[in-house]
Amino acid sequence: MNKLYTFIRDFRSIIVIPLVLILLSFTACEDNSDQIDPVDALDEEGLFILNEGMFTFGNASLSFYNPSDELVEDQVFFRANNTPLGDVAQSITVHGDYAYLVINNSGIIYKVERSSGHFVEKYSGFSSPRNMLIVDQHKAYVSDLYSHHLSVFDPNGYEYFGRIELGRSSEEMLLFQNKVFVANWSKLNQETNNNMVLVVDVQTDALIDSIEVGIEPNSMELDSEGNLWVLCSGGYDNVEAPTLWKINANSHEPILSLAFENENSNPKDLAINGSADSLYFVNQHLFAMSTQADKLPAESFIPAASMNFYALTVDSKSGDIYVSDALNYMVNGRIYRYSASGRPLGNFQAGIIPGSFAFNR
Amino acid sequence: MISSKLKYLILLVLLSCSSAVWSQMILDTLNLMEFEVLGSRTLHRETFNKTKIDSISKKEYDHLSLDDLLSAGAPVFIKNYGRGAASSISLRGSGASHTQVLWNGFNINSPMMGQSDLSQIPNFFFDEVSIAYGGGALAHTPGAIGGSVSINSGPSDKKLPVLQVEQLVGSFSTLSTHLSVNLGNEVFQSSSRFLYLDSENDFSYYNDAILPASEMKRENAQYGRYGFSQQFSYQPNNKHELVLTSWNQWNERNIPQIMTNVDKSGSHDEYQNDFSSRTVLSWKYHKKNNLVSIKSAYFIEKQHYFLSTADKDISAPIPIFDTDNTSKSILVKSFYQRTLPKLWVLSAGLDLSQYIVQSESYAEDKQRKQLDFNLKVRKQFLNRIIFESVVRSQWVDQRPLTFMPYLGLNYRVLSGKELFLKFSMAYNQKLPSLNDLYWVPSGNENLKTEKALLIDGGMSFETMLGSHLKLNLEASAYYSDIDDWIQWAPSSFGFFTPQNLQSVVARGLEIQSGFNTRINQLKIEGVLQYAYTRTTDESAQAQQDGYAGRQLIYIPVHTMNAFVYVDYYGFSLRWHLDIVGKRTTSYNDSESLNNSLPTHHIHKVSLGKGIHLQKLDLALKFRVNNVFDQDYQVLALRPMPGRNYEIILSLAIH
Repeated sequence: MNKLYTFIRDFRSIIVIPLVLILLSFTACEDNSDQIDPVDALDEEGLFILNEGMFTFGNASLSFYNPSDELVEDQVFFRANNTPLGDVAQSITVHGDYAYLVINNSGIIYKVERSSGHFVEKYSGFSSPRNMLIVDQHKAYVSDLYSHHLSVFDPNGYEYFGRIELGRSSEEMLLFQNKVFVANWSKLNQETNNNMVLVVDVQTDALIDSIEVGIEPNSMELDSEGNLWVLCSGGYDNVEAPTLWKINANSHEPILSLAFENENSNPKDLAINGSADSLYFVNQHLFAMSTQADKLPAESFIPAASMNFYALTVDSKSGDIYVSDALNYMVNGRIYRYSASGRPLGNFQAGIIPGSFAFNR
Repeated sequence: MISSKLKYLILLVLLSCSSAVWSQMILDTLNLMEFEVLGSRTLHRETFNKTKIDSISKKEYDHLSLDDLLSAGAPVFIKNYGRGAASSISLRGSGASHTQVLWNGFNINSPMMGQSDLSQIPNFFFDEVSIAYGGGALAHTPGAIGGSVSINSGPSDKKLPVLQVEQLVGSFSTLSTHLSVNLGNEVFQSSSRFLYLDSENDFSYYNDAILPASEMKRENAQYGRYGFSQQFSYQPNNKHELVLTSWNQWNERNIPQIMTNVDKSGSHDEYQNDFSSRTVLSWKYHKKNNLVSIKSAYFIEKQHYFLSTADKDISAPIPIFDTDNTSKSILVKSFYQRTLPKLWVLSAGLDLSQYIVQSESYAEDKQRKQLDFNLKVRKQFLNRIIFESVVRSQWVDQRPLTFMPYLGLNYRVLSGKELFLKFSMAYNQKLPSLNDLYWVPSGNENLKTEKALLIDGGMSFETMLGSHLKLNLEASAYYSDIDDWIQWAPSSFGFFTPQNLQSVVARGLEIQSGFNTRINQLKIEGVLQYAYTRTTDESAQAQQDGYAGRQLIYIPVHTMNAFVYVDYYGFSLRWHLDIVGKRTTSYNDSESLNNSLPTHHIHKVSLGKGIHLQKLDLALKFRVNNVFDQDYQVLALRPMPGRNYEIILSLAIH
């Protein structure tokens, strides 16, 4: 102890060195707190844009666009709740006073107020949730990339009802009368081909039929004549040529199957206008076709030029088309707005990989 | 408000001054008796910038892995996915695969990944580590656009203890045991090292990345490793040296969810188990002005990755990935050096490499054959100027690459003074990794090699203040222009795919300074290192999409570390500070909301006492990590532990 005492007495200046390190480290502190602007009230007629963010980066976000004044609110969820939205925001569903945000790689669904973005409730326990479909006031289905079933629950209070066995993974869902069409998009975790549209009875919550289509059905729409349109990419590994299918939604019989010429192309994001007689999809460029057509459009409706078209939606009221440009997938994307005739109406910035839309109505 | 850059500058100047001021105070007040060099930070006669990690830091971090040691001992940024998780290095604003890690001269970067997971390289298994920055790395290996990290475990000229046992007990149920046995005489030596590590790694953290925010325990983050190394060396005379070294290791690691994903599924299970065995046989012959070296090596690495998940109310988990990868490397290195009159040194090397990969993630087994030829010339003029030139050429699968030249100069400014100026230029190329080319589904066989023009200039200065205090300062500025930078980016199908996307320009500054002294029984050493790094994508794509000129993701503009070590009558105190500046997490503007990680500054303190009892050494050390319990993340959404503790007991028999 004497030696230690002598050391302290003689060399006390050395003790100061760590103190200097401490003090100077605080000198180097930056003001790290983000200044967060509150979210303004979200307009009834506006458009939600759900931005996927980068896989495992946890930088998904929610943007909001008001077409009347052309103002954009970005990072709505973060600003309303001071929390990041999560990892890979897959889809958004608006119902009643709420918006449901399916966060795929976080395995959760956030329920938020659609007027403010404020958090209401969180649903968890999914493997890899993809889409949520409101079946009626008290029942919702959630599709899943890994699990071979749909989860069924009450979106009002998160009462879990159980699951509907499909034997396959599930993706986009579409409600038609008393049944739901479910696309079997991914072949991850399944031995069979991913080339089916499954049919579920909403009254019995049971699988009742399946319709064979092309490989990797990625999106579906219903036209004004009761036909189901299914767009299939042909597989990420180009197993076959992409195809567009027209199916009688009542009988489940295929009416038409149109193959794309280029096997390496990747058509996706089928959308339909308000009168349900014009289809749109992205295949590098933006294409449009009538539901009466019996062949694929030869020319693009809106050329992409240098843009990287990623996802689209059509306003059922105005007919305006919104298509996202994901740029390099690592920087905020942009949304381009066109009239039904294809006239440019402006563009605005969204978040990283804008991949899903929903109108706030 | 003072800008962050200015604050760093002030900090740097103050710390540099403080080292000298405190040292001067000691000089003024003490009767100085003797001097001992405690560590050498710089290798100033090189023509390029190089850091050698000092022995005090090496010893301090012996129970940890190479990522921790490099982070503490050099002005570099370590991308750390969390405590015990994977980590990689970014040298001079480059990517992880741009740094080649060499063990006893052989590249140990995974042939599949093209990079090393530094968290799986235990410091205990090697004795020395040094970093060659930028173009200077061409002296060691091709393809090291950012630089190279050399770790070596060779025959020791020091008298090592016959038996040494160390036991660490730490927070989060962490146990680490080291055992080494050293036997032999001047002709034959055997060195054996055994290692065991296990950690529950279940630290608490505040998760504010998911709603509702709450205090949580890190789950599924356990990790462990065990292994041994064995070295036999035979030196029948001062001409021949034969060394056999084998390093064998088993790693087990669970992979936790990122903070936004902790609610994912009912029973998430993700882990990775690895095995690696690396053996090198080397023969060295030295006679007069000739040096011949032939080394051969065989490496095998096995990796098993498993991921399963489950919904609520489903008992059987769904396996998502259950894959095995094996890579084998057969390597031969031959080297001849001749020292000629008038201070000319010529050397030539020929390396043969074959990599074989069997992976369930490839469509078929893949292999790569490489032949690397290098020629070096070094000339010294009048003890003032050193000129060095290296030319490398590499044949890969019989396709020739262009030459990779290096030119370097070292100039002593004043005769007899240890003040040097350095300048170097190099042109380097890096091959795509086998994953870049063949990974299913997203490998890209059309990838081009990455190409880099590397320019470096700097100075080094070393002096004695009085007869007992040694000061050194080294500063370098560099400019790197990297074309066809390979980047894994999301694609339209949703998965990541590699592309020659970027034209990256990196420029920056590195400063390393230190002092050491010994006054009676008092030893003091201090080190301060700082790096300023600006790395931007200047490609046409970046210009078009509006992110040209922005700092690349996860490359901090400022990094700094400093430590002070004091030893007095066997009592030792080491105070360490790491500062990592703000870094962006996407290509968006750095001021965008939720787009950057803040600066963190982490203090570590250790206090120890050693006792010598004839043939027995006993030592006890107590260490506090993250002294001020800072809540921080190195990579976004991967929490790091708060304040935690370790006790290390060491026993050595001579």
